[in-house]
Amino acid sequence: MNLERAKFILIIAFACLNLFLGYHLFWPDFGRLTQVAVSAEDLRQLDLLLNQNNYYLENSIDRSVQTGIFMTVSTSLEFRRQVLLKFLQEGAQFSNTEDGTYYRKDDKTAIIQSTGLITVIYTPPIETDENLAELEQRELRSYIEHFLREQHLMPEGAVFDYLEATETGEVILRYYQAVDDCPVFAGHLRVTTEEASIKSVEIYWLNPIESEPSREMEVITAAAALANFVRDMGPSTEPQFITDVSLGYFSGEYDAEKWEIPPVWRILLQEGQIYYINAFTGNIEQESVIPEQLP
Amino acid sequence: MIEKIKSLILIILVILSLFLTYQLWYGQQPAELVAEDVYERIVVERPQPIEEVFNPAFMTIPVENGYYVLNDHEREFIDVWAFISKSLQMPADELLIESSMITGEEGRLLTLYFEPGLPTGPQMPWLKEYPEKIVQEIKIITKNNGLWLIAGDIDDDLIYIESIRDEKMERLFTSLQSIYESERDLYFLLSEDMFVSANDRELILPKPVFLPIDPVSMDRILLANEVIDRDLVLKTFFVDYNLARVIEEKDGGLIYTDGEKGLRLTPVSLEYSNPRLEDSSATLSYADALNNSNNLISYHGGWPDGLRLESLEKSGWGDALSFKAQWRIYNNGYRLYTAIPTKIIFNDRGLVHYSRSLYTAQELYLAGNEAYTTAVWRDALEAAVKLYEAELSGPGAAIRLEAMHLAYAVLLTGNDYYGEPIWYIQLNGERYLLKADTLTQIREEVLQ
Repeated sequence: MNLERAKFILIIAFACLNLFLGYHLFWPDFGRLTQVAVSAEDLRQLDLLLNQNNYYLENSIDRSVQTGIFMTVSTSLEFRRQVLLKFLQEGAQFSNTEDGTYYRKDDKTAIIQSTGLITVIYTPPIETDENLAELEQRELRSYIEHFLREQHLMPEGAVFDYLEATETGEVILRYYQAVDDCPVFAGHLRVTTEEASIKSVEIYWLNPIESEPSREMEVITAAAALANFVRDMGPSTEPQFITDVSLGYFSGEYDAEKWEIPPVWRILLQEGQIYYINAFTGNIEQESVIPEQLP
Repeated sequence: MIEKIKSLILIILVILSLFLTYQLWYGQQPAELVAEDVYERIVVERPQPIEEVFNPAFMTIPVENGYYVLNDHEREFIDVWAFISKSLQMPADELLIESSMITGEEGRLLTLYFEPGLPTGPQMPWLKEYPEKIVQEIKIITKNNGLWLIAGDIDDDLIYIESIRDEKMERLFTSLQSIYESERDLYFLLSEDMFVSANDRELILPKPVFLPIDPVSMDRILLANEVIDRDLVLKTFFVDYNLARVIEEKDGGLIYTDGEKGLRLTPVSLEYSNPRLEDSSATLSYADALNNSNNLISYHGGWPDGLRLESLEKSGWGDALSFKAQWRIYNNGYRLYTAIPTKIIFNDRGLVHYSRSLYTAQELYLAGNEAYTTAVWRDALEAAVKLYEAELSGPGAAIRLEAMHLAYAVLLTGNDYYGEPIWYIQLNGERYLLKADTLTQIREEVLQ
């Protein structure tokens, strides 16, 4: 046997060995690429459960197997600094109250709460050249985003979410924070408009710190989240249409140094109500869980 | 050239096979397995037997010109209660039916007041042969050349009377003798006609209040907060604590929550709540609730020395009912008042709320003033009534004096926690903490 032949046989042998090792090492994850977590039968069962309880799914849901981690965040001091710097440069006066710190300049007031929530209120509301209520959604977004950039109130990573019309005639544009293309619903931006005026802007922006890949876990499926939601809420008296079920991160607003936020399935109803289902535990996320002084 | 490429491919394949072998051997677990191995066996404190942790609120011994009052965790109190508790756990020797002997003060040697009441019946260690009942008072009297233990009052449908026989009698007398010979402060039983407020308010006493006749000498005490084993406590609340996320508060506190229940741990306290369990009923009997509360506090943090169950009551609205149990640490017979109460609320579905903040006495605290004598009871009560009238009430209404005793308020100076002697006075549900010497009010906000 000459050397050339020996090399050839060794290449074939090691290639086979590597295929064998690769198969054993990566097979579960290869399976993930094609595996669905929600079968067609599961979907049928889910539809039945929803309809029996007067809920109707308007869009398709994510059927893939997904994993998640706890994302560690803090309130974004950098963005808060930017907003305040702009106010102070304009000559704003500040005062401290129990509700938070107020920065006032002419017709606008910025209120900074201890949780990091920033609310900018325009009194009287800023008049716009166009009647915002008559604009198409795309034009309205474009107009408002231009305004936010001008006012230094458009944080990086804001993604338009949806429009909400209130009973009092206001239209609220809602944005969420995206981190590495993943929705972080806890971070939000809300602009309240009314006909030809902009009334206020509310911003709660987070700073992602770190995450522990070693704590990566499989999340429950969208179907399981919806089933838990129906079980917790019970049957609806009126027909309720579920317009969106998407995976993201959510937590309450905390006056804390830093905190972990879990992956959630966000369930959006047509009327604008939002429910967050913890994608690890399947529980509805509640604000009141944090212990308070006992009665 | 081709041979060189073949050699290169072979080298790459060999290195790759080594790398893949290493990965296969030591590689990471698939993601879905990460959460599976977190269920751990944990070792917690075994609940103390109920007969060892349930005590009367206080005892009174009539002496010339007044009473001696013994409070929980005083040595003499422990001795006497151990004897009586044991007697109540034995089958009755002899019963006396004549009820005339249980009225009046004549021949009374000792009275034990229970708050919460002492449960009797087959499920409890005390008076097992008797029906389920809650006894508020036990008396020891001498009559007809004998010593008698009477549980219950003349108005009760259960009166237990036991003759205390010779050898037991001797032991009790020995205990009482040492109390008679000790130098103690004299107390009196407050009656409604002994106090009239400046605004002529009527005084109502829903339960007996014993107060020291003369000013009492008390010391400030240095305190240490209970050190909670955070890891262990966390595991007692979250079976799969990998699903609990952490919130780091600005004051150094840590909150753990899984979206359903939350646990806050600070260097000096613990608070837990599970609001989803609030809507439930509480169908346990008083005796079962007592056992359950004992189990819960032992499981979630343990039972430290000096702890005493102060109240156990059922409360709520409509169908949502729950039991509320509250404990307090005693130091040498005086209660320690803290900002966060040590309290548990539970119902048929489980533990709804829990808070715990406990301190233990280290030594006398001499950095401030030396020991001092307290103000007299009348001045303290007048000061509290004045505060009550100024803050809350219009003229005319009667004053219900629900509690009045000397105690300690847990305060902080620099890095030291210390117990400040106070008069604790509760009027119509409002509580007042007055510095025992100057009678200046200590606000709830400064309590630790």
